[in-house]
Amino acid sequence: MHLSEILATLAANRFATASAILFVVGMAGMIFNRNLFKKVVAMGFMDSAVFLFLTSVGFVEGRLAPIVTDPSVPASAEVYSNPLPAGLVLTGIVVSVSFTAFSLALTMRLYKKYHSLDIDEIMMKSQRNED
Amino acid sequence: MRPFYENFPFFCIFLTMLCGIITTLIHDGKKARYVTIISLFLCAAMNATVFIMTAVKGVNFTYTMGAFPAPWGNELRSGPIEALLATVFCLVINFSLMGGKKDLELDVLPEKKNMYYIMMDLLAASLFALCYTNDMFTGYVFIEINTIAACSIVMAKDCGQTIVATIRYLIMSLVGSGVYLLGISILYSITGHLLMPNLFTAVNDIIFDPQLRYPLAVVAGMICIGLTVKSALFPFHTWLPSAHGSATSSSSAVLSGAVLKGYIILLIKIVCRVFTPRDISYLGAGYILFILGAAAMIYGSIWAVRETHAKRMIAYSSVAQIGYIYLGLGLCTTAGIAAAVFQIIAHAFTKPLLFVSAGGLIDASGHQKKLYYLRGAGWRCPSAGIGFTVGGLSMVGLPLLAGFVTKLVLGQAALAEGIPQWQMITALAAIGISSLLNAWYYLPAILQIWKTEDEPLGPNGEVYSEGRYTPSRPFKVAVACMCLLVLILGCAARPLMNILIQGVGLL
Amino acid sequence: MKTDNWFQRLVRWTNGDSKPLHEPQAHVEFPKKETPEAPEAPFEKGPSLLKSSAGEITNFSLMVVSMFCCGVLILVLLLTVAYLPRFGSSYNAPVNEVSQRYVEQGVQEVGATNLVTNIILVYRGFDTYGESCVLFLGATAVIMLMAIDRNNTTKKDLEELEETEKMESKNRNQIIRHVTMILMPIIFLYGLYILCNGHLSPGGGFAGGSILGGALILCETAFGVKKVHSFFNHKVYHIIKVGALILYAVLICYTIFVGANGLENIIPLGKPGSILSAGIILPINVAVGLEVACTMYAFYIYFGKGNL
Repeated sequence: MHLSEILATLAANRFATASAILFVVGMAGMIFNRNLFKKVVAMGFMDSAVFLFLTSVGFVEGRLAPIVTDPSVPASAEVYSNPLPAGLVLTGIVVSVSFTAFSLALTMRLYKKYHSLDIDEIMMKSQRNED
Repeated sequence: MRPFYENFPFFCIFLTMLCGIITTLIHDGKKARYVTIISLFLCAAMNATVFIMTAVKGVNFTYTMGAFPAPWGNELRSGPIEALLATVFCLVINFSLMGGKKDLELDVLPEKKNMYYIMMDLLAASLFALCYTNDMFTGYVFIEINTIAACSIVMAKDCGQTIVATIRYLIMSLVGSGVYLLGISILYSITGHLLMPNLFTAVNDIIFDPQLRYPLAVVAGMICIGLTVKSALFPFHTWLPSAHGSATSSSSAVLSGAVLKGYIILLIKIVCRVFTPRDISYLGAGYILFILGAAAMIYGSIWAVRETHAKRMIAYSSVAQIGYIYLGLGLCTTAGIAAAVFQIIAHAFTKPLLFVSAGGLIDASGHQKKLYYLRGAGWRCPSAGIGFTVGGLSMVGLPLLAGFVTKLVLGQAALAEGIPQWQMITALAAIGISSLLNAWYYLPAILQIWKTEDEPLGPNGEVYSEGRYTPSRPFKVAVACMCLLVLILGCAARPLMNILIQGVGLL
Repeated sequence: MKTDNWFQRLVRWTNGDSKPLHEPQAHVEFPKKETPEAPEAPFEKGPSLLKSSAGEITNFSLMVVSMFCCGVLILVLLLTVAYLPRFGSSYNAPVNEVSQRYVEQGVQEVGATNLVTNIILVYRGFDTYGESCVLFLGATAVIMLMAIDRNNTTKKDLEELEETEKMESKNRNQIIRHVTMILMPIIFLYGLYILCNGHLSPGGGFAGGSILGGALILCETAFGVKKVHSFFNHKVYHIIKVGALILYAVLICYTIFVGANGLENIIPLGKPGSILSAGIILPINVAVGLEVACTMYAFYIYFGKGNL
């Protein structure tokens, strides 16, 4: 595949491109950032990237949102776009909410105990308190 | 009208979930405990029924979750392997809860005990769902349930160290599940399906398509990496020793015995049912798993040799044992995968046995966790000592015990025809070196706990005399059952292996 | 520590005194334990390991390594994207018989005109049940961590909490209170509307529940914890949450069991498009909405006050 072809596809799949970059940024933030709060934010990035990608998969040019306006007429698949990815995104969002709350609670407890958000510092302090 | 036993996987999942939800209203920790244990024994019976019915007939069945069949609705699918593993998980969780009772009472505050059992119930439900699911996205949802419950049972012992361990575990897990979710999203965008049987046909159609082969290889890689991060394969294992080493003993036992395995089973199902083992090998993911598995076997053992903290030593040994599973899976043959499943079962009983007995020994030694202070602890609490000895010897690979059979079947799988020369040599070398290293750290530990010399034992010179410590009855029962199961697995390996090979064919 | 030859070490090893790779450390560790450590001093003074020059080098190399990893990963993913099917094309793989049936027969088979609701609550209802369990677990985990107990709270913390509570109740802003009085019923009504129309319009349990939860949170900020707790306390919270989840579980269990065994589903589907239609979807939406509202409020209150 030529570079120009690749670039053209990337431009056409612009949401997927954006989500690929966002995903890696979020993942790197989660792994390499030492600040716990920033890790949680990075987790939000990562999840949002996946949701962006899924939503873009569901879109079909020129079709409507999958809500039937007139139930007396049988719906045609040519009119409405794919409803499945929207359902998956909804599930994913709820999961991500609970995980954000959980990790923030953990962060808060650690901050209360060690007065720091830096994971390395917290680990050193907790090892010092061991046994 | 389908036979009634086919409903059992669905009953198990919902029974444990409902028990978890109802446990919210039971504020008494003791009652919550009974509810959990009884529901899990019920589930074990149901899963065992499914196992017997499917293994005898040599069949598997699909259970539609609702009125809509495969590409539209959710599905469960069960064969002998899934049912057997679900049974094993029930037993493991139950024995761990029974064995770790004393530690649990000490480590978890009474007003929060019922929440611990909620987590256990939902952990069990998610493990069943991971065993039985036939849908990639259901897999994702239950992976997340599993993660949150597993993290909560680590942090249930509410001290600074466990919370640090929990957040490290949580972050690594979330990276893993994020990668897995992106993997299945990409897979959905190129195939348009989420259920495994439909994905299988779709993947078969596109695997030799030059346009889609690259994304497919990336998807295979992402799913493998996502699930290996969560099951702590070698370069991603960093969270494991602290999480398993610092949690209360029944949590450590459940985490190493059941939770890690849940993800591996999902991976095995994806390897067999969405792709074929041959495809995985063709796309390159099989070799990666194989090499990482071999590396983990040696790396984990080396760190275990260097460790002086009893529970962390056992945790590092888990890293090595997970390597065995991936080594078998990475061979990408039926025999290799059957060996991996055997190792899952063997390890699922051996590791909780070790953790629970170590908990007993530590308890009998005034809560000193260094191996050095456990000298002679075997005499103070003989049941725990025997459990530790049996578990340790099984890990080392003493014949008649489960660990030996694992090494044997893995070796056989590596020696089979069609395996490349380098893979065979690597596998055998890894098994050999890892067994040696296992002996190197387990034997001294076992010798240490049976030491008879009288000398000051505690860090401040306290002496823990014999007979001062009496283990509870559930502890003894759990240790005895697990010892027995390790022995049975070691002696009756042939019929089980036959069932497993048949079951891998049915996957 | 005296050095000894390999034979003595072997003897010691068989006696169980030492680990082969290590000299017996335990003896060495005694004095370290007995000296009471100066708590946290080095961190407050600044020069910790991380800030030393050696630490800076590792930091720098870590940065380089992480940048490199990111670059490689981004390239891999971008190349994948380049091979993916075109955005928005109707010839893509996801536009297949699966989505066709969801669109064309969803209204007849399940009954809701919002096709996404059909999928998440009936076609793939098991997933969504799992998802609401994740929410339930999330709330339980937060309660497990943040609820006041002797591990995470000292007497001083409690006093401070009480102090802030007093301050807040004194200085409660009149404007917020009056605006809340006006807005409150509207928000509740809007939440209920979204909740009950989940099968007809965008919305449903999760969206409506968050709005209800938001209304509760607003109520708490305007009138204080005590006012809210007069109608929404610990007991009510648990009963609503457990009741909603059990209702949900029973409905979904019934649907799955009946569907899988080929029995007849006795729940009527109703006329598509009217409010009382779509079988189990309306009660499930209500149950989910209640659970989500409870969870949102619980997150808020446990993070702030540590007690419901």
